[in-house]
Amino acid sequence: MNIKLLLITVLSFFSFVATAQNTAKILGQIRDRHGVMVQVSVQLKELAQSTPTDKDGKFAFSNIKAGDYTLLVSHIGYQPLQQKVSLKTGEVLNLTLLLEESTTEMQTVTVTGKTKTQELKESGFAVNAIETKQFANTNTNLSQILNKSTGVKVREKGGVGGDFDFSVNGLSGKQIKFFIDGIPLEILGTAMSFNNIPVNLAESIEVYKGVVPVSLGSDALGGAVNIITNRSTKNYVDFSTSYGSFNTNKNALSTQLVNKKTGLTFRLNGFTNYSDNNYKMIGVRGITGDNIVGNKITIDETSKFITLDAERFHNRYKSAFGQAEVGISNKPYADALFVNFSYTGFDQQLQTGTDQRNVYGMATRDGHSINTGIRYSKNNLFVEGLNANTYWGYSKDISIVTDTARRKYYWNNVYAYNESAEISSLFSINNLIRPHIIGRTNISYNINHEHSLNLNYVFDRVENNSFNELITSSDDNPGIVRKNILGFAYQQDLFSNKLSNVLFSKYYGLGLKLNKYSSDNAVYENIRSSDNSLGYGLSSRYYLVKDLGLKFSFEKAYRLQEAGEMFGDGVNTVANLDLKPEHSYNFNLGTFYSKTLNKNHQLFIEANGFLRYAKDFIYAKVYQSNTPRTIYENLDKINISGAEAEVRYNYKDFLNATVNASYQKSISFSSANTSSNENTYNKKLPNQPWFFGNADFGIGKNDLIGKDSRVQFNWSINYIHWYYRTWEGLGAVIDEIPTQTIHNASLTYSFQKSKYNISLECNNLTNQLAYDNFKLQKEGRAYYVKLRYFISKN
Amino acid sequence: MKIILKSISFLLLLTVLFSCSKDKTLPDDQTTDGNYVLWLQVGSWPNTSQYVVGVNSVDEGSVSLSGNGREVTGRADYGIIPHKGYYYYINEEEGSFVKFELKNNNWTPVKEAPYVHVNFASATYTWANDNTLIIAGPNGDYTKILYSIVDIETFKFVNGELALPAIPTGYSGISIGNLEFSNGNVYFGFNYTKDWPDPSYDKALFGVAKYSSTGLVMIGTEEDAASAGPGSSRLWTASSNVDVNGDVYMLTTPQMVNKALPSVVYKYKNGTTSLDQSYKFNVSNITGSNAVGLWFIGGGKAIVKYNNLSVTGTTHTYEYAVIDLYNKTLVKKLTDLPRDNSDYIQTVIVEDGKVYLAINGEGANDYVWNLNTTTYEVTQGINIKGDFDYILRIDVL
Repeated sequence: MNIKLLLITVLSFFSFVATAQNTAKILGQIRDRHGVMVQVSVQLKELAQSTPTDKDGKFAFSNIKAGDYTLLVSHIGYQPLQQKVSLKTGEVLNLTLLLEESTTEMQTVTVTGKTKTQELKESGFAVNAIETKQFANTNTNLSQILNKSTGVKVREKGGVGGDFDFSVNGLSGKQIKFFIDGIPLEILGTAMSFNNIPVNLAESIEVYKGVVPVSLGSDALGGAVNIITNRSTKNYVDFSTSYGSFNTNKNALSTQLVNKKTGLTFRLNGFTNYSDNNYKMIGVRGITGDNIVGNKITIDETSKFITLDAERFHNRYKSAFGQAEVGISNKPYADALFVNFSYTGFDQQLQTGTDQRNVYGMATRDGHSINTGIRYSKNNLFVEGLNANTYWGYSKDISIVTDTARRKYYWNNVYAYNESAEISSLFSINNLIRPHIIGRTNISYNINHEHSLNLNYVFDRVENNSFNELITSSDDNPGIVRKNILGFAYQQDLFSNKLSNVLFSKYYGLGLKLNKYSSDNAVYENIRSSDNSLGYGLSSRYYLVKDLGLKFSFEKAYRLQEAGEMFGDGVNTVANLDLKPEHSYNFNLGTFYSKTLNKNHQLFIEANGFLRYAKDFIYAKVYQSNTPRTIYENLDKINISGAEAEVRYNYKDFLNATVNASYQKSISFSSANTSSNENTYNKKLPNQPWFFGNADFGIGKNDLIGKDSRVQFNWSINYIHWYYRTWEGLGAVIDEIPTQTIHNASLTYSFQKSKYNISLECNNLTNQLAYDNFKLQKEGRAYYVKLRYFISKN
Repeated sequence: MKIILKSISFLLLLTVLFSCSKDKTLPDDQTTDGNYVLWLQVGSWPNTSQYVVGVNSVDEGSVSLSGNGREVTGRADYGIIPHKGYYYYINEEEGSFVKFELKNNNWTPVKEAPYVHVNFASATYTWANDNTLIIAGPNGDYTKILYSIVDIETFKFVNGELALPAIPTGYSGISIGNLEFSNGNVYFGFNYTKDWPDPSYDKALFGVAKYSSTGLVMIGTEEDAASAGPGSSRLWTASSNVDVNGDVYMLTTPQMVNKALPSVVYKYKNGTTSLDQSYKFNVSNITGSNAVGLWFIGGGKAIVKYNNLSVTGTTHTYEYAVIDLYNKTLVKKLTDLPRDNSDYIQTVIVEDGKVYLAINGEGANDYVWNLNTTTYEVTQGINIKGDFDYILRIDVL
């Protein structure tokens, strides 16, 4: 089918329907005393219609019959507003409504009306939108917050800074892309990963599942996560420090200084993380014998293994991030024009391989990254309704793995002299140096209140220099990957926002370059390759009745191949110039219900089902493991289906509870031989959780201990059902990873209107044996205390 | 409230729909823990898994992994030492030497001791006697050749280094293959390597050492320009053997070192410490391609596995032939066998005069074949059902 033709047909149809009626209209703008307010929910009470304000704070209700109506406006941190209006036939009413800030703006739970994240949840996209404010006083990081949301599973090696794998509806790794304010997160360096970023640096997080809006321009096959930072124009300081088990210390600072007169704005963001991560491993293997001097053993007839509980002894992690941003805001020529500089660094001791039987005592990984960028945004550029923003940034990321110790360690911190290195047999100081340029330009145009267009362009160029410092001082054949990703979306909000559709298309242009050794001609050859792919999709949301919505979204999504996958490395990986991007047909169908009763009880229920038909998965096919040669092929097909649901309930700011559950089934349809199917055909993928859920319960009271204070208690439970470690149906015994239930609790006391906050936290309350991949043990019970100072002024 | 119920029903419906399962475990013809062990690789990287499955007979019937066999990934690898009912293995990740048995579909460590010395994945082995194992291999950065003499009853290790001549200028590493024991001497092939992509030493290198229970003492080394490479490692593929007369035969496998040079069988006469210069058998001449493995089948005959370069458009390019080592002739190309897509893996077993070959055939054509040692005809034996990536090895314990 000709997609363009389909698009045009659908588009014309909806436009016709939309313009066929002609009655009265309400146009308006919502402001506070600083200016226009975007994404504020405006309700037309009598017709049970609602709409968010646009980027200029404007809203509209069209096709209304004459009569008396009530407009309800509510927004977090502001006092709700009611406005009566009378409409005559054919009248176009123009209103400007002013919202007053409420005095209890920073209280933990104050939800009246629809917040930005709630609006997003009620869009056509399958999205988890999480406000991080509720976690601001806890010792958590972004990945732990996301792990509590539906369809998301973060699997960690354990400890602060430990390796993790992030999956969204069963797709993970390179298939999920991360952004910060719409910019690919990679630009900030290796240490800026989700398990490292403190909660206080983000205002909210959005997880798009399977279908990703064009504004996040990347080849995200399985979904995308976008961190939204604080972009208010207020002065604020948010500083927190925490200390706890395993000598863990985390500090975070986020501050902004605005000169209202000149518009000159200065921002500073930063964090440090430190932990010895010396938690206890249960039932692991140590070594003993007669011939031990210090912690060195000489293996002889007396040497033997012992089983013991041992502290992790080479697991320290530290990282730091600092970012300074300076610029101007609210000028005629720019709403914002900022330049920024940032630095990230990390230093990590490596304790184990992928399996905890593989113990290291000397290997390390460290690195740093510098980044600079410029961003510009302007609404109503040249014409009314045309908004543009652009970002261009450069970074250089260096990461080094040092594996040079002639030692074999055992869990009781005793080592034997070894003729091989710890991680691989070969001694190495492996450097990975990546200069990176990213540019993003987003232009949107609101044709009117019902139709808008969005154009997004991303340029991404990265050079991968990889070499072993013990052998050479540079990479002779760095791979260069250049991506041009262009997205175009058309959005319509029809029938007074009852129906919302987004139709979009994305173009992926890929250029690869590698200077590769040709063994046939014994010379280096410059190889280039390019690829063009076109993806497309749509998202729709329809309110069946007031507060009850249905949504559907679809995308044909791509992940582009990497230089190393296509060209090989000439040593262990054989080139495959026929390699294609992997793609997936992603479908989501969901429903939500949101209800406020007596202004006090708030209920939100959502349930979604999803399907992923992923094809041409790029996998390294092990040619045979004793000739360690691999070739990347478009080999696997995986079908994932699943469902998830969440129920949330709030009673004023006193009580809140959330329960969710996610189920997913990943089936392999891979085939090594083209003529027949593998043993794994039609089987569930091993080592993947398939049923998990979370429950959160919070209770809090204002002014319990003194005026302007709040006491808040939270309890959360994380449940993971057992899953197979090995292939289902294969072998007489199938190994399982047992069911795990982890309890966490925290108690927070805030005073002086949340200016000062102190919280106590206990993770893994029942000290249960917890693990993710391959039964690698994670932390047992741990305690933390966190102090936070927050002040915000206009 | 209705809406809550509706939502929950909707979710339940989805859950029921998605959890419909068709998986059934079908019984196999053979589900035992017999003398024959097949190693199979399942799944695509990074989800590759190795399974072992035992069968009573490989002459007929079928076997599959459905409800049968045991996953051994991480605990052992198919570069392993089979010996008199057990497997011996060095787990470098855990720093241990382990003796395993496969019984009742269970893969159990029988005895285990701390061990750290040889870079096992690149090592090879031979037996000085039924109780004494000799393992030789490089260190981690391939700058020397280390050995361990292991008493497999007591797990007593004698570790040492082979005193080879210094690595010549311009070369950075060393590798070893074709390890054999005969009449108190240990024979082996070796090779000097450069940092990739520079080519390795383009002559065949050999060494001889004197064996005693306290260590190996080098006697001498020599080289020959007719071929190159150290030969294969018996952990993965055999390419050498000692015949009933105590004579040592070693095949060079230059396909990874120097494609221009042929595969040649060299010989040490029993008790001698230098090559029999009157014996050189250019195997590539009679098969038309470079060889990767060599297995004695008795009476001076051997099976040779080679890569038929004239076959294109498929990865199934490996063929087998029977050769006469004494007369240096081709006996028969086993063209009735399907072509194999594996190279350096242990796919041939010889037991009481019976010879079996496990072939990774194209499509679902995965069988163990029986070779008649008189007529050299092949007949189809056990079928390994349920297509997988590779039959990794076959052993008779």
